[in-house]
Amino acid sequence: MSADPVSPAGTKPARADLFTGVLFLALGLAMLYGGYTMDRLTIRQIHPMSFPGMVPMALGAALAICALVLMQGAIRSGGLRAGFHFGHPSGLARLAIALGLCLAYPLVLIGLLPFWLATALFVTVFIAFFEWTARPPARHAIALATALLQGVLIGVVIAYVFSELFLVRLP
Amino acid sequence: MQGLEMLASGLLSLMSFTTLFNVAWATVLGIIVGSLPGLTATMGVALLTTLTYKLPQEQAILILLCMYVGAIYGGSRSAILLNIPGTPANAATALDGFPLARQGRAGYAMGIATTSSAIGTLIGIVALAIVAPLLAEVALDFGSYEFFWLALFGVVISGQLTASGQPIKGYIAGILGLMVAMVGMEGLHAHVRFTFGIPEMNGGIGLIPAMVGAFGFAEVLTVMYDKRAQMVSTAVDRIIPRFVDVWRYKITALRSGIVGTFIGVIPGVGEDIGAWASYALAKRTSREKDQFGKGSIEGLTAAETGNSAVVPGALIPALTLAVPGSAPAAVLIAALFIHGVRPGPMIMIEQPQFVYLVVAMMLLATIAVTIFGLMLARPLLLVLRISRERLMPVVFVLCVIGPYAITQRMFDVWVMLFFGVFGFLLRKMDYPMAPLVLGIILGDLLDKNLRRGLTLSDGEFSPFFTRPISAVFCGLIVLTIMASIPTVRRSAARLLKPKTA
Repeated sequence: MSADPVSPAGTKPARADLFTGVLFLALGLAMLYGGYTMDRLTIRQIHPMSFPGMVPMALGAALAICALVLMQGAIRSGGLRAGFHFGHPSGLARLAIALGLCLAYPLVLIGLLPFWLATALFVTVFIAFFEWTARPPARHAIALATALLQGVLIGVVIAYVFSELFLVRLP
Repeated sequence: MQGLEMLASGLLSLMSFTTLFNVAWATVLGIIVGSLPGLTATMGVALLTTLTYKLPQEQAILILLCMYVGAIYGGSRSAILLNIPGTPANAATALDGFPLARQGRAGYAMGIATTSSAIGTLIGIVALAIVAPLLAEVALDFGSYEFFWLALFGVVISGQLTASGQPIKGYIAGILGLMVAMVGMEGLHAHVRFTFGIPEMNGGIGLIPAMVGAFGFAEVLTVMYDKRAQMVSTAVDRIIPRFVDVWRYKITALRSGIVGTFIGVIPGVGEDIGAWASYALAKRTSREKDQFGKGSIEGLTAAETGNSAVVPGALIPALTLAVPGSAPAAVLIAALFIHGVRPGPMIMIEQPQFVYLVVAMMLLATIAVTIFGLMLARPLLLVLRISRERLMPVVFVLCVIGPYAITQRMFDVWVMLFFGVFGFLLRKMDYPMAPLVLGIILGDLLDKNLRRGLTLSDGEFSPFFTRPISAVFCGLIVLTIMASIPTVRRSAARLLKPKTA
């Protein structure tokens, strides 16, 4: 799949490219070093050209070269000067909340609560939060009720399907 | 003739109530998944793989194929009605589909999209039935040297063709994917690499969790981040297209089908490129160029035939070389392994009937897409009204439980989360996802065959360049990389200019 077709095309975040270029360069060099220092398995008398670190070394070198090319392009299009902006603030706020909820669900809720309850809670809170901000105050009660209904329904149905039909031991 | 017999027996074996029932629900589900912006074909196939792994082999694969065909077609719905491609494959569809909907001809556009999709899939299916056995025959001559080049070729081509104008980012994504494949126990000497002492990493990074992350969770984040879409038109006119309209653009449809199939065969280059390539070609050769982008039936036909033809096309290398032609085909390969089918050059020897069974399944899926696409056009409009806030948490729950269900390890959930966040960030910076996934799949093939080849040739690199198939691959890769360097491209353009001027 290609890059997200909905995103605004033509914006060249040169500074972001410069920054990621540095990261990829570091990663490439680290991989190169890791491949080079990897056990050559001489003790097992394998063919010296088939040592396990060979391909990682080549990949590390290739990534480092690509990172340099990327950085060069970014500098040429003003990466050292250009201001860096990462989209619209309302989207960023929504993203931060969605990301927070999505990470809290597997990392915190599952394990703390039974699976069906954790799922119900996550779905309810997620829907309620976003619907709350999108609807007029008069409809808030409806938003909450439907969110709760969908949350419990999804939690129970998914837990039932996986544990009873697929015989999965739920987390 | 033998092929036709196997195809007939494949079709006969599928003629049971259970099968037809599965075809029906999986196709409708596929159309729904495709038509909902934020649910892509890759995500649908990946999540359904986790939901069907307990089913018998034949039924599970059938369901996944129906989901794939349905989703690529379903994306045309939201492209026409909302101007938002339901899957990236339908971006070209929106160019002419949406203007048609604005003119109050949404039903007509959906009808044309349906018949075009069916024609595209059928052209691809014919190619699959004819080319796959031949390719498997050729692939039997592949040694380690050729497989190494093939893996490299896949990553390079997909990096080159899917990057949004910046091949370097495609290459970086591909290399990152290959690097991920380096984690865990390698296949030649069973040496454990880059696990940092974490025992769960010994088996490597699972493809399904990585895919569900990169195409599921990352998509959830993207949808929540983007602005809300508004439905433009719900007025639906006549849906069943007149035969005359379909017949008028037969040449465009046939050509787009062939282009799409060819794009599908190229490793890792997916439905989106198939649609764009067909669309561009149709526009270049059309007698009504000025209509393109304003509601051209020909443009719509080209885009939808092109992306649907990629589906069977992508299965050709997937079945015969175990190299996916597109991202959903990559998930399918993983699913085939889960169900005990070994795709690769030996498939025509070990399970010759399997390729024809897949052809028969695709035929059923095409028929189902046509029937349901035309019959359920109005009820399916309701699906587009589901708000993203209600849909996304459910998708995310499936992203969490799906990978967990296959292995029952929380580690796979962490992998999914990592690839989701990482994939989202990369995507926001215009890195394509397809080379990344292809790299994860082909990394092992590349690594093993390079070192095995060097062992066989006693450290000599020459067989990599002197064997005929290897030499061709090598030449193609060099040309591709050269073509993506701006200076080379400029001087090539200068050389060609006097001739064309």
